[in-house]
Amino acid sequence: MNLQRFSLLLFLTAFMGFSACNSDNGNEGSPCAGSFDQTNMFSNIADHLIISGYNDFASKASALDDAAIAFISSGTTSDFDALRNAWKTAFLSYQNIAQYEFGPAEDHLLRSTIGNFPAHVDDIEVILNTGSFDMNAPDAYFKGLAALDYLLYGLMIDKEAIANSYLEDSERGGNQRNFLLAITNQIKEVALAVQDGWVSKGYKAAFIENTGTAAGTSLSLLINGWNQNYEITKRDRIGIPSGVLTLGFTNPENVETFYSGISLDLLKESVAASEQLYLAGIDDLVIFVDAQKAGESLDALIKDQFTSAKNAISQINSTLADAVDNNPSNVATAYNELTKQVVQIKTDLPSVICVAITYVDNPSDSD
Amino acid sequence: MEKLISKAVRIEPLITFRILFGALMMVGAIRFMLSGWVERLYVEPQLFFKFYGFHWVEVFDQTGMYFLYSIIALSAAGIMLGLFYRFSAMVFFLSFSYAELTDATNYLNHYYLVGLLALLLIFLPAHRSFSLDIWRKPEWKVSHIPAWCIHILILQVTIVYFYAGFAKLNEDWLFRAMPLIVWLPTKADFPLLGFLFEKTWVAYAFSWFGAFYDLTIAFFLMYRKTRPWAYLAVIAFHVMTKMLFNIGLFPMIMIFNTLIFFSPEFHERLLGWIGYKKVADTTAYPSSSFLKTALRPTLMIYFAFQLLFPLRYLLYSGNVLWTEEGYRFAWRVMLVEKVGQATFYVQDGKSLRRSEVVNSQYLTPYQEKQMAIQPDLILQFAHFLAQEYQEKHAFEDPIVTVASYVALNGRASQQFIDPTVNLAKKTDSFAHKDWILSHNQ
Repeated sequence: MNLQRFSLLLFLTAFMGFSACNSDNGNEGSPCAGSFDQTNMFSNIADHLIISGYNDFASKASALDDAAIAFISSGTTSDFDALRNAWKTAFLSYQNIAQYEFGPAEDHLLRSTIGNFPAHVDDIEVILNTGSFDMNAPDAYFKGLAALDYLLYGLMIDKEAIANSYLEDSERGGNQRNFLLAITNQIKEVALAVQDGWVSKGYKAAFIENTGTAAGTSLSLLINGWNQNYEITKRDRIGIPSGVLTLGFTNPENVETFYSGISLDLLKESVAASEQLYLAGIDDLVIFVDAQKAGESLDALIKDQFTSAKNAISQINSTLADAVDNNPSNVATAYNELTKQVVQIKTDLPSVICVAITYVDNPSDSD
Repeated sequence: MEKLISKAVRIEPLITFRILFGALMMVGAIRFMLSGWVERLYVEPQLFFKFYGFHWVEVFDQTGMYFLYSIIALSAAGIMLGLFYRFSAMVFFLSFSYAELTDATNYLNHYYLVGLLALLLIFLPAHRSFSLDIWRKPEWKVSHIPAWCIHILILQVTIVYFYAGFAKLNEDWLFRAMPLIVWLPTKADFPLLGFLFEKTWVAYAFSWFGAFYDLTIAFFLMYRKTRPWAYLAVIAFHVMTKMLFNIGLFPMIMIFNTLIFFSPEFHERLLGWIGYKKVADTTAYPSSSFLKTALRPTLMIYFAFQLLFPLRYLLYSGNVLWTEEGYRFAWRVMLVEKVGQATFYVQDGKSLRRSEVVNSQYLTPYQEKQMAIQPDLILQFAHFLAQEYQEKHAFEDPIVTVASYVALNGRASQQFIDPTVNLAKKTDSFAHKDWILSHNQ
């Protein structure tokens, strides 16, 4: 066979390939989301969810730091109340941006700096008694938003007594003041730094431009960040306290905020944020590829499942720490409804839109 | 037939093969150690997935694994130099195979190919010219060897290509361009051609060309007239795949291997660049009558196995891409994009106390990813969990079930394993695993 005939054969083979694809039931160019206008979607998500979320969190974090300074200087109960409220507001705001742990948030280790939970009370007590701590310790569980739960609600039963303990002219009183201010200051600083990364340091533009489906593209980062946070919500915020991972032995003390009892509010906010991100454009991708699962629209399945999960969570009537022991079936239902969504957003969705999963890389070669 | 087996042919192609194979394997083992893969693949994991029939293979500690890989590198150097050649080839075959059998998570077709080629090399007189063994014992030098010594390598390479192409003749590859249609757009930043990779027709063209290439390339390499063009295609194809995908040494292995198709004259010139001088006299490799009588049946059994084993998937019901029954050791390369998740539940057979398992407590992310899509690994992990809960939590007759979902080639996921089956009571075998749920298109 000479070269010409060889090339002709190659050409014919390739041509058969194209014809085959064109005749393939017509309605889809690519089965993936490659030709979807990602720029528009990213721009929308960046403005309306991410940056507005960081703006909100940065202002709430600043207000929290201000409130802590005000309380330490005045010592009044009303300033202590204001501090507690500022903390709650900031913590709720954090739930909205916790799922964007990439870019500036990843650079500043936002989650491990201020989002770790549950706070390790023993570590905190050592700090309060000795006065020594390292705010830059990696993977620490003595600082951040969850540590404030203990510092503002858990030191004693009585609110006045807690407030007064910060005013004592003892070594421990001084340590408490220092540590409280160090934590609120760090929360503010890191919140401002991440906000700055998006707003003034150019990450927004980079995010919007970084289109495609490869690992490391904005779509991949967004979907991974979304999934990772959703799994933290499912496993850590509710699963671990419920005992589902520990032979049914409950762990109420492991809720996100044991002392203030706002864990359920935080959980609701977190699930709402997940849903909001889906509705802000990821849903369009799923609709664009016309993804079906066992004959049903994947988009509808995901939307319905968010509704079911939210409804199930709303059936929990007491605090989460109380409910895991006193109302376990409602907690189990909520956990199961959250779990059903995982397969849809972690396995189905990336598969049908053909986005590469980054958080598992191959340690060596593949074939 | 005689012409293919016992006719005396010049030894040069085998010399090139020996040198390049040894060099590449030496570089590969050194690269493995320098990349920190000993730590990532053997030190980080707490447990290792076994190959069926090779449960006795244990991973050594860090020092032990470095020692093993050093032996691989040294014996590969021995092959390259032709020094204590048969011993080197045997040590290489054993140490390399051992390393590859330590964790089924890391199964790669091209490592299997390397193992097979190493096995063949033990029996080939590839050191009988241009080697340190000849420098030691000049009387060993030969200029000619029986033709089978070359032809079994050609046959082995042909089988690999052909079966790889044959495996591509499935609906997903040909009519959905899967998984290339998923993988190519991720390379849109590729120099010059990048923009093409986002086009649907390009994925189809690559799929069809890839299948055509694999099915036919060995035959184009066999004929003198098409050989130079075919070899250019080999280089272009493998360089392209190297640039596009994380496939390590495989492209080099194939680019080197396929030189075996070339004539002795070609190899004479090639080896001439590194100082080889053709000897005028003709000394044929002596073959004993024992070898002659043993050779034919042995080769027939070996190649019957090579031809039949990859086809064992036909004996199982269901789509091999989904069930993975008969998937490995069959030259199925780059055929699937699979994502899965597997949530295990362990229940005490007596108290009915039950726990969901956090896989990451026991598995590395990569092991977890691989386990979730391969039934035999799911089973092994289930058995591990049964034992773990017996030992750590005093479970009696633990019941291990799994909620597992796998998405194959761009589809939404389907449930993979029967969630009602107690995996602790199932054993692995070559029999069909009836607890794998079937895949609906």
